[in-house]
Amino acid sequence: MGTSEQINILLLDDEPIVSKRLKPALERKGYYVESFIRSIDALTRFHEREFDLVITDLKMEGIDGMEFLTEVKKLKPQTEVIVITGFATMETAKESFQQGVLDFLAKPFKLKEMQDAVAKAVKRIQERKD
Amino acid sequence: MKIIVAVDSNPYSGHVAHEVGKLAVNTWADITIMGVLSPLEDTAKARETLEQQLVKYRRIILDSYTSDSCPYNKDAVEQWEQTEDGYSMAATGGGLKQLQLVIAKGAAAQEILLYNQNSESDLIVISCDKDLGCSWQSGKVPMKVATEATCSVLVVKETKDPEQVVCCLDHDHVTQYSLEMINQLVTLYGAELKIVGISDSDSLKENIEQKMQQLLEYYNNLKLTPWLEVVDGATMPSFISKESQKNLVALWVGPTSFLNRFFPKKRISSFISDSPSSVLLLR
Repeated sequence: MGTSEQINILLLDDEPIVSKRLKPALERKGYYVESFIRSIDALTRFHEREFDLVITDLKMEGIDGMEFLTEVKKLKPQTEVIVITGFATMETAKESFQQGVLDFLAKPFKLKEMQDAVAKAVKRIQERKD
Repeated sequence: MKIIVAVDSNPYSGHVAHEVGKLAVNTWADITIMGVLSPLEDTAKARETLEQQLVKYRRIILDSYTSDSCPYNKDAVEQWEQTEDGYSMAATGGGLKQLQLVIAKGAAAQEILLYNQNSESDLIVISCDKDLGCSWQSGKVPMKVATEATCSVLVVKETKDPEQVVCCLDHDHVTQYSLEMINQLVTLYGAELKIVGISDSDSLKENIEQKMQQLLEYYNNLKLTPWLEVVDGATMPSFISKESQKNLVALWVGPTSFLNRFFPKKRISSFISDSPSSVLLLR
């Protein structure tokens, strides 16, 4: 389990290869990361535990990413959200920001781009905690 | 996603700015619009003209946003500054994403490739004439960039949106990165997706069929139904030529690609030059 100083990240993408790539890269930066490939499992976990940051894909079976992030913001409005999407459209970008996401990354992206987006989120989280 | 838009002073570069505008509206990518001054034409007048062109292309991209949700700083004023590594740059910051202008000095293709290498961009978008050949240094610049870049390159032609994105994938090296790039273009154009496997012997055919099945499963999981086709390697050039009449052709051209056998660099250059439609080279 993460310590109180550690930033807790929930990562949700139905393509296992995405979590396989991102999770270790974020853990190496010192973050505590839990990854999920099913949105229902991620949502159940979000109800159980506090996460500072959620990184979610949009196009998923069952509860899609937009529904998921809406629920996240409804339950814990202070949770920062980064959306990643392989099928970016003007509508999804616009709706994501209306829901209050911090960043929107279209795939493909390099690890550095994600790490920069996470660093920006962490800065905001820490400012709020201080 | 990080995109470099390589432009020159020809009218097709205005078209490429419109195309990137559409891509930007969907993806909210970090974008660098890049022009290159030849040392022979590096006069104050030439520099000013290029600066004005880049500003104009930036405006075209910004004007693609019809609503108020634009990730770039629309009100930023382009302040040109000289960077330590020799670029003239207008970093119009203040937005959620970057839409910056860069002018390099030197040989165009080399400068674009070098900038890409240092900035680790995901895609270079470059344009050339829709008719046969290309005006940008007799086509040398787009061809060299397309064949030698380390990232994917989209060579845009001034044609209507493609009906299909036809992807010729190396069955041994179908990367997640390539699929993601393809998926964004399929979404952008609202096009159908056709995945083409290439065979040249019976044993290979089994491998390809297995890989095609995996790809079909990947897309079915995403609730998409691509067309699948296996083409004999010997007929590949004529197949590609036919498909490029109205479709966007995507070729996987990584350094270890099996497709290099059918599409060596020289042939890719001719294909780009002769293709009436846009071409995507995946890496």
